[in-house]
Amino acid sequence: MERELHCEILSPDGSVWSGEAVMVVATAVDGQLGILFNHAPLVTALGDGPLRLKSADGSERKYVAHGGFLEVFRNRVTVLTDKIEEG
Amino acid sequence: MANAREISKRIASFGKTRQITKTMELVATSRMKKTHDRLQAAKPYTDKLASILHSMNLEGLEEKFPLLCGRPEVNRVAVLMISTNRGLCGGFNANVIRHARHVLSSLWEEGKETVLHVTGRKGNNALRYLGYEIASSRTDIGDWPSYDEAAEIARRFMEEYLDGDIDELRIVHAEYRGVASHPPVAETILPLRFDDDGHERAEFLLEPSSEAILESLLPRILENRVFKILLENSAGEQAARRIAMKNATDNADELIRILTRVYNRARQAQITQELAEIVGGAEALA
Repeated sequence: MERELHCEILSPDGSVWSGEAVMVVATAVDGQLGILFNHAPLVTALGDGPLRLKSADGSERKYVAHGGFLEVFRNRVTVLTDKIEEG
Repeated sequence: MANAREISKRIASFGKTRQITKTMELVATSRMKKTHDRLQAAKPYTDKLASILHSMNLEGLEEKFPLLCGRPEVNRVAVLMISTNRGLCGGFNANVIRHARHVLSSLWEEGKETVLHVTGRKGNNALRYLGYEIASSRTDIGDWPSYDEAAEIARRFMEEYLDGDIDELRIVHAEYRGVASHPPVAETILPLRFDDDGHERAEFLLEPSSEAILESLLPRILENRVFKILLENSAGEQAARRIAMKNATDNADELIRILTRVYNRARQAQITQELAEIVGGAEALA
């Protein structure tokens, strides 16, 4: 087991993506925020901006979220958003 | 007894009706599956919203959020009734309408003022016919309600609530408890109420603050509740229609079976009579 975070992006229409990542960078209401393995439990409100998920092989997924929430709990990252675009 | 040709015409007409109800049954079955899937797909999001809320300590914050704390005195209650645009779904709408009328009259008994809002053509027409005053109605929500439509409805009532136009919002709708059970219920949506499931969670860091999170979390929860209700309504509609059309098809089968027997008897009687006439005629000639 690598030091990976299990990530899930949820929207009211269903799960947008779920998988593993080593680092998550999100745009919170008050600035950017990076999450690595063993991050303390956290809940934050997201602002408008990019959401990047870096996986162990170095590849990166990019989204743009418009508001929502991000929760970190026991190395599980959950992003809740009703508006998200890939790219 | 009616003559054989008339009966055979009736059989043909039942057959055609049966074909239509059978088709509608099949269409409803496939839509039911899709709407049911959407309802399921929305569940993780809903659960997570609730769990984020539970991870926060709401004590002492309730007063700061008008969406959470109820009014000391409730005078004006908005009642939103959710119905469908199309009929042929058994008692689905009738049950909701009956329940809405019940809710309205008990509110009146309590001396409260009500503002009635309706979605769905069926509910709108029925209540208008019954002489209710409808403040607003929407009939543009189709079989696949979108989150944006739900959010629009939620925001509208949220504004009215925050402006003090209404003290409470109740939504009367059919709850989706599975394929065969959709009882009408009245839910108080505003002020927002949460059932505390009581499970303790780890201490969370709340960024930037619990107030700021609540500020955007509460409207989302409200929108999501409305969205869930709209999804339940469309899933229930399709399920109810499937059952109604299945019953109609079964009834048509039964009628065709009985009529076929009547038809055979009539045909037999006709042949017997004709034979008797021929024999009688031949005897008279002999």
